Amino acid sequence: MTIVSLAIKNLKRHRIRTLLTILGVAIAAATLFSILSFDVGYRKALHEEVANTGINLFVSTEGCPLEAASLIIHGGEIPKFLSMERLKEVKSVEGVKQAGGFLIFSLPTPDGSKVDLFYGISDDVPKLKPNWKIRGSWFKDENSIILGSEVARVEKRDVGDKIYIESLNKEFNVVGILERTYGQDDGFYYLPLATAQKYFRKEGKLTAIGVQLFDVTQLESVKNKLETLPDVYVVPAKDMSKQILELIGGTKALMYSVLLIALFVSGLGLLNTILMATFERQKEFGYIRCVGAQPFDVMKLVILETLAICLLGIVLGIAGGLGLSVSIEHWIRQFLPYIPAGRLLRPDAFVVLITVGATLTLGIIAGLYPSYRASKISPMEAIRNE
Amino acid sequence: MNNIVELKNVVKIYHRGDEELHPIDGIDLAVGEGDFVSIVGPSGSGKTTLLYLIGCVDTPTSGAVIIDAVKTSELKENDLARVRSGKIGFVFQQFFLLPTLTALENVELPALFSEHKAKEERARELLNVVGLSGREHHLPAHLSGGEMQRVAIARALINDPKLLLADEPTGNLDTANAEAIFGLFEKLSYRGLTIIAVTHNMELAGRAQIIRHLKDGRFVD
Ligand SMILES: Nc1ncnc2c1ncn2[C@@H]1O[C@H](COP(=O)(O)OP(=O)(O)O)[C@@H](O)[C@H]1O
Ligand SMILES: [Mg+2]
Repeated sequence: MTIVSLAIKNLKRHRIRTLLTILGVAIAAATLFSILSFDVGYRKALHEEVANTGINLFVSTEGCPLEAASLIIHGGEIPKFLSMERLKEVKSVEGVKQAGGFLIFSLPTPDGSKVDLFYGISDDVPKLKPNWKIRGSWFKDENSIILGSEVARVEKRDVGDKIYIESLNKEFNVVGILERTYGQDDGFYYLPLATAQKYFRKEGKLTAIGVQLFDVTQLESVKNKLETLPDVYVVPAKDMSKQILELIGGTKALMYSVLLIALFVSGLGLLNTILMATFERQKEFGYIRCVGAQPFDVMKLVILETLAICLLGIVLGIAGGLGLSVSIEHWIRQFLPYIPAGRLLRPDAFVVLITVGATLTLGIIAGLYPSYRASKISPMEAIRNE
Repeated sequence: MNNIVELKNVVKIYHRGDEELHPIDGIDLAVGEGDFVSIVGPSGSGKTTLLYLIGCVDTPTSGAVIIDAVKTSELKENDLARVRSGKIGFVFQQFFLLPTLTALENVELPALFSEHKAKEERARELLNVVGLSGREHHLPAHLSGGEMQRVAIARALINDPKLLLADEPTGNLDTANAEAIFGLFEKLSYRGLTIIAVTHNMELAGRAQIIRHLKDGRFVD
């Protein structure tokens, strides 16, 4: 027998109570684990997306073009538009390899059940999106449409099918399907730029222009040159991740407040359990002290019991967080203003370390007071209550 | 010869409401190393209280208690625990066994808090010595009073104490088992263990080298 097995024996006395407490800790640990995995994963996914895109600079009227996109997606004010002239001018700036124009639009379906997202894209855009794989073909005429994989799945359409878009009162030919990117792009209808401009009554207008450079080291000078064009705002792609991270700051703040509540509640549950477990064993602590245990030994015993609960909760919580990560990711995606391509929950050693460290710290804090109380029980107190 | 236990004018006062009780009322005692002392006296005469004072479970109101050259009456809780763990084996009148631990684990328990740590083999040996082989894995609730008493005796011996204090260690035993326990005490005392045993049984008390009579908190012999 060791002091650890003694602690475990004590926990087995009230199996249900112990299990419920472990569950409480597990929920807190799983929450912490998932949120940290998201924090790390989102950042990585974003950086990867920026690194993988063929776009070095974005040109828009004001603010971050993705912010504009996000505003449209979430029904905010539609910002000002760029003139098509700008696309030609941008292409002629020295150092620009290629540039593509976008027009982003959202329309609620007539029954109001959801919002359809449309991307009008010029023929240069695929060159700027190296991660795009289109099954079928590129636009053949102004009636062509390409579907994001999620749209294709929901609408049950494949290459060669027709699709009637009620909000535009027009039928399109599905010429291609954009294979899954696991990002924002999966949820769009892609139209030829001119078609989009026509149906959204934005002839000659663009939401943004994506620019690829010959030489990335020339970024600053090209940016300066682009900024001399009228009404433009230029953002390097690598700065966008910072802006997007700011954009999801609110979502993250909400997540961390949920986490704090989860930690607090499970900490209280733990404190309650351990406090009860020590109150009901006052006499036994007295006996242990009678046969030679130091006050510190009793303290150690109670802390060990708390940590045992925490460790089991951590293992269960991390296992649960991993097991449910697909559902959790699915759930989190609903609340994000911008979704980069790839997985968003990416647990790593750092995430595990913080989860273990924080949960054990919570355990020690919760165990401190009960263990101190238990250690203060004198042998005579226990005996007198005989 | 060295005295392992020395009490000098020890007084213990309890307060029960306004009433002041003197369960120990001025006791002097010297017990040499290897002595086997019986303490007899009527119920309420202060025998248990005296053993608590010697056993460092309680501290005197006044006077000095010296155990193996350490003045324990002046020690703090941590050091008292160290003396209890290192020098003393105590058989409590109500056993004080932990209900969730088996007989074997109860015997091992004090070793856990001493420098000996794990001592399962020794615990089995001791259970065998007190005649409880085969009962190792029984919980206290499944043992008779006599069996619990013998577990308590085995537990008191696990840390190889210098001094064994036993409070009515045969109170729950039949004559044959009581005989066996006192026989064991004689053997242990012969090997050099100092023993102070409280008993009602004058016949058994007679097996000790020294018998002290306690009445109203004083020795009356
Ligand atoms: N913790 C205590 N508080 C108050 N009175 C006590 C306490 N312990 C013992 N007493 C009293 O001291 C006296 C001696 O008790 P005790 O030492 O148990 O006697 P014995 O063991 O000889 O029967 C009794 O009158 C008892 O009621
Ligand atoms: Mg008594």
